[in-house]
Amino acid sequence: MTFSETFKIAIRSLMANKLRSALTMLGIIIGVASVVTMIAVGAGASNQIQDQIRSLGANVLMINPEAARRDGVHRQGASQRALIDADARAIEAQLATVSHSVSSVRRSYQLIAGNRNWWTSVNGTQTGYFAIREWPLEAGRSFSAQEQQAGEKIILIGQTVAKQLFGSPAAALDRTIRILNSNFTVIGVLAAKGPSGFGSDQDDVVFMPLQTLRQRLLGGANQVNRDAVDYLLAKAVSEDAIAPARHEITALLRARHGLRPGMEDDFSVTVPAASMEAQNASARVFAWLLASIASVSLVVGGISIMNIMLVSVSERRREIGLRMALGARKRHVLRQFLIEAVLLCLFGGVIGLLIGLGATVLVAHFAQWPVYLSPGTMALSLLVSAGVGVFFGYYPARRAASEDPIQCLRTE
Amino acid sequence: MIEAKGLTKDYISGSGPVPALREVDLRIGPGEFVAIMGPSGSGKSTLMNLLGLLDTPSGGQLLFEGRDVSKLDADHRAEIRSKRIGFVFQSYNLLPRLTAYENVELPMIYAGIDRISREKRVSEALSAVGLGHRMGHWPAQLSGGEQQRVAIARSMVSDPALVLADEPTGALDSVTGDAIMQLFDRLNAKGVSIVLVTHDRGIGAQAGRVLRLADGRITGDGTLPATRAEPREAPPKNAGFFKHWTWDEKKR
Repeated sequence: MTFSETFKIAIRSLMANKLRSALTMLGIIIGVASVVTMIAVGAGASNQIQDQIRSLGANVLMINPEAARRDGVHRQGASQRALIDADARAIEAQLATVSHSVSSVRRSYQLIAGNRNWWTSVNGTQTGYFAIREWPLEAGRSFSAQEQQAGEKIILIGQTVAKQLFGSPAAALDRTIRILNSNFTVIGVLAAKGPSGFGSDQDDVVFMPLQTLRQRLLGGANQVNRDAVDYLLAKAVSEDAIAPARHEITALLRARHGLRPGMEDDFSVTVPAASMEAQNASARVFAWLLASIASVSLVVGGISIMNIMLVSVSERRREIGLRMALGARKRHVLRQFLIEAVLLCLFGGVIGLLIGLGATVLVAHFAQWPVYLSPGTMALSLLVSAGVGVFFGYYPARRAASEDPIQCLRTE
Repeated sequence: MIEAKGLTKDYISGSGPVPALREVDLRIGPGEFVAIMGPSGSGKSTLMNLLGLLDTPSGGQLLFEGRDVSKLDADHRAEIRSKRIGFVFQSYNLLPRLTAYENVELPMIYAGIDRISREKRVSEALSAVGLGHRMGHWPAQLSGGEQQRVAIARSMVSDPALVLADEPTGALDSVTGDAIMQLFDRLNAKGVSIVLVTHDRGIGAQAGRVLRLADGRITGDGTLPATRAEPREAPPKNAGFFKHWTWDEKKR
């Protein structure tokens, strides 16, 4: 007896009880639909966080100044020793685990272009910043070393700023932006980065050489230390080098800041991606939790398949006996009932997948959540459905195959 | 063709083994037409189940076409059934979700016969029982007599050596029953051994040999005087395996 003949018989049996088959499939339909939707939502959230991690740049370490503490008490801000340009240069020059290091000063100003204005964050930094953040330009160019040294009045702008001041990134190049009393020429527009993992718009930003910011905007504002910067960024040579780099940066800065053993750091070294990785991990755990809860309905669906198949075996004992009398071997009967169970689950799986796809689209549309459903996940959901059919259909099928034909033929 | 030597069958109940068949010795040759008669509980069904290889004996030996089948496992017995034994039941036992054609085809599917051969043989078998024009009909669309004819077509389609019939006319009126018995006659005339269980003396008389059973033992083996006025059918005209088979509606 060929597979196609068994398949035909199974289809015929299922079609003979359409309503019952449909109701039996319901559990699998709901199970697969919910698992697919949950996985899509979970994968969407995870992908979004991954994108955000990527947008930070790989292997980035951030060094911020911190007020010194003594006996657990933070002292006044003035007591902190500022980070300076030389710290960044020393990190890059002396540590083998670090490929780039830059210093940055960040302020917020009103930007004016023609009759439009926009309040945003202005960063004075070096070109290494873009290498560290892996942030390419969409149009134009970056600063040259000479321009950095000379404090030229040039500016790189993010996508949001370009849109707000000039309507589009393409229209921004070579235009002038006024900040305080100085005019700056837009020499480049940065590629879009999207929102950060912390919710801020990474494209709502402008960059200029650090020297330019100091000379043209800060002026004599920082009376204490004109070399002070707000933060340093460093890039470890590899993912594995992040921890050693962090350790070495700490040691180097402690030495440079003259901190004796026992004294607490007056700076902090953080890995921004690490906290996002934690977010990602929790998103993944949450997604798996949801999928696990949803898969309970798949198990319930499987149990309902087993239940109905057992009922079907009881109801069809005469048919089983007759088939056996006419020459059906145990394996023929087993295969027939197993295929029926697998077909029920597979049909349920296909319908559940389609409903899951629909629900995913609705979630994306109405809740505005990021969703992602890979072809692999869809194929897996069908495979799992068939697996449920085999697992929960085997026992009833084996029971059918082990029936005594004489007893079955006596069944009324 | 089939031979039983000291065949016994016990059923196990709470109070111990209950003998259903005791030391039965029996030989049925090729082309014999045997009726098994006896009161309820005499062991007719048990004997039929053993002869049809649906069950295994508790003792003794059963030879089918010279081969000892007493201790064969279920799958081997099923294989022999699918190829060499046909069954006809009182209640027809057609699968309601299969058409007449598919019902007749079923034993050949289990026997592993290819589709082309199956088509030819099903068509011949159904034509031989006068239902060539109703192949696509469902059992529910057929009368009792027609369903039994489909069942007979099914029993003979695999070219069996033995056809076992359990009260094949029990659910039919006498006219239809006679027509069914004519089909058995024709099948028997072709050389197929027929063993049928009946309570009807007329049908018993039609068989060439009658076995009487009582309390699990054969108490008689002989013939009954014919009660039917009609002579046996004239021999066949069609060629091939079913050449002895023609169904004349007028004779019903």
